[in-house]
Amino acid sequence: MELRADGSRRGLWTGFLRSATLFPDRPAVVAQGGSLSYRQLRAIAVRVAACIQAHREASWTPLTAVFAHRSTTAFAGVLGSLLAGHGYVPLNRTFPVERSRSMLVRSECRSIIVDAESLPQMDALMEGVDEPLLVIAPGLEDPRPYRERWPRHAVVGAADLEAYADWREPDACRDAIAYLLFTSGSTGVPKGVMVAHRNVTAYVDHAVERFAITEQDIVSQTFDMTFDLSASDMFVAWERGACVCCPSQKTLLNPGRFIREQGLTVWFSVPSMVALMKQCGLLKPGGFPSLRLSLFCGEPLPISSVEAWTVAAPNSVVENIYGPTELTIACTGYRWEPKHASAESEMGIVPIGAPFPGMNVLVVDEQLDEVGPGADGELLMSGPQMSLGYWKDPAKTAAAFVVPPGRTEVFYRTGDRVRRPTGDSPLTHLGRMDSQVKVLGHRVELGEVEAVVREASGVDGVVAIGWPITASGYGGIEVLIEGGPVDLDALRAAVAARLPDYMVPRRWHVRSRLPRNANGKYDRKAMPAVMGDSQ
Amino acid sequence: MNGPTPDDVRSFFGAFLNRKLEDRGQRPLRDLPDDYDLLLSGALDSLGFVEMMMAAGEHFDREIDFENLDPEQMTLIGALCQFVSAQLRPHPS
Repeated sequence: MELRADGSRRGLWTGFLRSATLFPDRPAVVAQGGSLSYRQLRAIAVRVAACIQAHREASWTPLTAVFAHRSTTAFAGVLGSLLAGHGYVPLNRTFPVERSRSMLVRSECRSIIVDAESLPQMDALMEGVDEPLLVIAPGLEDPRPYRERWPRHAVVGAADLEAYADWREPDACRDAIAYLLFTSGSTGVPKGVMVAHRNVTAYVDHAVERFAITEQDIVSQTFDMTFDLSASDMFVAWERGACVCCPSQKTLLNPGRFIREQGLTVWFSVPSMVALMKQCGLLKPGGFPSLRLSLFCGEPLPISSVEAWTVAAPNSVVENIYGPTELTIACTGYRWEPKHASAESEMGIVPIGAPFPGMNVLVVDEQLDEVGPGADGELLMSGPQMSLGYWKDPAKTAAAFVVPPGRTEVFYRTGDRVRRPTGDSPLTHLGRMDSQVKVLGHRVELGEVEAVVREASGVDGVVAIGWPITASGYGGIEVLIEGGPVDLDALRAAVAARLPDYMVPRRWHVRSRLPRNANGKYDRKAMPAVMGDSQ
Repeated sequence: MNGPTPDDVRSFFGAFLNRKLEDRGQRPLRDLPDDYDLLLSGALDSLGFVEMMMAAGEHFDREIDFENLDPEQMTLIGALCQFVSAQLRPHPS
């Protein structure tokens, strides 16, 4: 356990508690459910934490699920889990319930925090869950009907929470899981990335300095909590007493209005959102004067998007930050300077810059040997932000977290292709090494889509591809099926029930034979040529 | 010449939505009541919503200004048809 200078413990919650002492009446969060000051948010989170601590048994895995979406309860749930000494496992009611149930069961959570809007899905979520759960619903006025419906589970409502006042600050180890986040997995099963307290605090410590966050800042939260970039918004803001401002799904339809109405000073989104705003004519000159910092991450950032954005946000510094979930939020960054940026960019894409402090970069060939300066290769990274690996999956962890030849340190294989810098030039991102693609900022393992289609159709010859190509990734997923016959209506419905929207194929193509390369493998690059105008 | 009426817009949206629903193997909508919420019903995600608005602009040959769109109201089909119809009405010169 890392001790701070004053000898006290430091967990991911520590910055929030300090800010709650320094700025009790400043707003900590604005979301569905209203605005909560640091004092109010702390009060709810502490009661949630005390409730978990009171019910916890020694056999419990120290993880709590947060089944809440863009609500004040979601934020209180995250903090409450951490203050109980648990890591949080975000679940998303906009995902198919089967997927959320699989995450709940696999993570072995015995406690779950749920907001009022997600309660209607709880019956389906808990179907077939064997172990009794502690269900905490801070927005639930009358829990009695739910107690009758779920006699095996303990249901705690708003009034019950008042009784839980005996909270003890946890003794969490710095290596303990702060959050367990499930990402798309190539075998059809999402992988749980274990991110430790020390990983996130390493990121937060750098981010608050780099981005000069103060208690005056109003920080956007455009990401769902199932997207790890959401952790940046929350913990970076709370570390310095700033306010995190989370729009509803509907409000996000007009992000420009949201920026203006809330007076945001810090914006953070995927680049796709800029492209969308540009397309809708929402980037008017000087439209967002309150923004002083704009961060983009999650997919390649086109120069054209930055240029359009800086016209709308003339007072804003723009940073392109990069990082897979396994390296905790972001681990490299590039500050946009119009004078140098064009010369340093490749293929119209902004560089990903330089590694954050303590993070080491290695650009390697297929044998994991370092390539020469200026050569392309896979990006490997190591350092304090490198996560603990995959939940209960030592084989996948061993495959992705490796010790390259001649080294002693473990590096994470990002699967991203970059150019090794020469001199002090920035890292440039050149694409993916494997079949992971970015769809609207979401990482999608094509193998997972294929696995689900394969299982639902009973046909082995299935190829999923990202299509069409957009400036920052792909517009969606399309799937090709070899052979058949296939009942496409039934297949679409079965796949839509198992995958989130952005992973559900937008078009389906059934062909008697799909293109293959010389090795007899499906030739992904040749697929668009045979897609034509199928359904 | 007057622009499209809210009913014209509704019938365009109905056809657009039904194409989307059919693409996903879902049943087409028989009617489109005023309180039908495009987002909460799951018929469209935010990208699909923008796509539909862009398609409407193209279909009626007029750019739709999103600036004044109140998202809390505008995912309801009745309010949206009124908004788009008003947007597409020729401005007095």
